[in-house]
This record gives sequence, C-alpha cells and structure tokens, in this order.
Amino acid sequence: MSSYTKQFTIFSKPFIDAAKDVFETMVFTSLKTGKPIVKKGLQSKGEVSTYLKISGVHNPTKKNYLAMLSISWPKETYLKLSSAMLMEEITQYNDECSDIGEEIIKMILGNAKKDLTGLGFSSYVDESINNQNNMQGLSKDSHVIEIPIECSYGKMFMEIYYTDALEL
Amino acid sequence: MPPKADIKILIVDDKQTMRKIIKGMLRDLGYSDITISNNGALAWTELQEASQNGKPFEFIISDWSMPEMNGLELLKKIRSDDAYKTTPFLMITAEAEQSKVLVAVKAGVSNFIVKPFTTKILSEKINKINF
Repeated sequence: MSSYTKQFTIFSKPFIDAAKDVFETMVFTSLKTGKPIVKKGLQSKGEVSTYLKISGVHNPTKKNYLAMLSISWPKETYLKLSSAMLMEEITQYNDECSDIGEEIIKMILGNAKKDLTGLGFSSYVDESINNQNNMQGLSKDSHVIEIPIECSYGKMFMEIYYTDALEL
Repeated sequence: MPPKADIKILIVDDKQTMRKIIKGMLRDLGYSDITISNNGALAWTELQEASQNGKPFEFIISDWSMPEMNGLELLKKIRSDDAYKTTPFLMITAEAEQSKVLVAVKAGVSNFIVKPFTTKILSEKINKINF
C-alpha cells in the first residue's frame, strides 16, 4: 500500500463511519458500503449531489491538506430519503427538500471531526456546494475515490478527494 | 421534569430541513405552540414582538451556525434582555467541540444537542432543562 493510499484510507474512514451514524439516526436506514474504486472522470453518478470543500493540517506530518467530500444520489433515492427525514411524502425535487443533501453532508463532517482530530487532522469547511454535478476545481486527472453505498431507499455514492500536495 | 405541552417555543435555524425536522419531533413529543424563525436576527425581532405583546417565548431552540446572527450571538443578546434572562435555551450544533461548549455555557445556554439526533434524544435534552 502506497503512503498516499494509506493516508487516504485513514482520512476516509471517519467520514464513512459518520455517514452510517447520520443515516441511521436522521434518515432511519442503515448503509451498506461497497468496494471503493478510483473514479474515472469527475462527473457524479447521481442526479442530486452535494459537496464540501475541506482544508486543514495533518498534525503528525505538519502538512496542509485539501479535500473534497461529495454525496451523490439518483433522484428517486433522494426523494425517498427526503420523505423519511422530513416525515412527509416528497414526490418532486423542489425547495422543500433541496437543502437536505447539504444538511446531511455537514452533519457527516461534524460527526467525523472527533475521529479526524484523534487521527491528527484538523479540519475546516471552506465551502459547501449544492446540486453541482462534478468536483469543480479539480483537474480531470485528480484521484477521486468513489464508494458505492446501498440503503433501503436505493443507491448512492460517496466521493472523496484528498491531497496534501495540490491546490484545489 | 418535562415542560407543559402548551409551552411557547421558538425554533431558530437557517435551514428549512432542520426547522421542519425539529418541529416534527416537537409535535411528536406533544408540543403544539411552535414558531419558526430563519436566523438569529429574525428571531430577535420575533422575541421582542412576543415580549411586547405580553406573551414572551418560554423556550428557544436554536442552531449555532447561521448567517446574520448566529446562535451564540442570539443567546448573548437575549441573556441581556430582562424578558429572556432566564428563558431556557437549547443550542443545536453539528459538532461538540469542548471550546464551543464552554463559550456557550458561559453565555448562559441551558443545554446542548449535537446533530444527528433522534426524537428520544431531543426529549431527553429538553427534560434535563429546568423550566
């Protein structure tokens, strides 16, 4: 395992654990994560996507890092989980449910922060972006890891980009 | 000891999703007199109007992170107002940083709740507050 892959794996785990907790608590479903793959291109697979740009310092190596976290849902999955979260039936994507993805991803970061801190990562949110369909600002040869996830409402995809060398 | 079901509650959150979720949870817990506000500045106006009308809010649930006026700024502002000096204030945060908790405790917060949370956790947090 290369040092980059090792560091990436360490960085990713708190987000996966936090996503499981957030979905179980607020969306009333458990998550089953599939095998991570290196994504080809930057286009998200789902129709509704939310991104967080995160920066910080990895204290053990004293390196600044930049990262992006994304969750992307097929519209059908998004509407079903919105209905579960809001406890009312949502049948179309509109203002009623458009900020749910952003709220979920911010909760995931908030939840992951404790573990990230324990692993030596300080973290700051630079920006959150709703409904963009790709990891804007990254060069197309950037390594983005895609983790397919299944829940009772359908499929979704978590994407993570991490670097301690490049500018976003 | 839970507060009475007809307690006058103000929810302050800039995100529609969270406002709806919290309101739904409170309704499930039996509370019905619920007003929502989109940020601290608007909440401050609501609070003043309610006070002037002789029906001040009896419980405030506020998100920490909001534009215009955040939850901590709102808390400090209401604690300097005689009508709301002791009104129970539950702060919602996305993370439980100890430094944040200490600042809010110093400013007079009644209790904290960290997202994500269930109706049961919200109920437990409310029941630990002295009404």
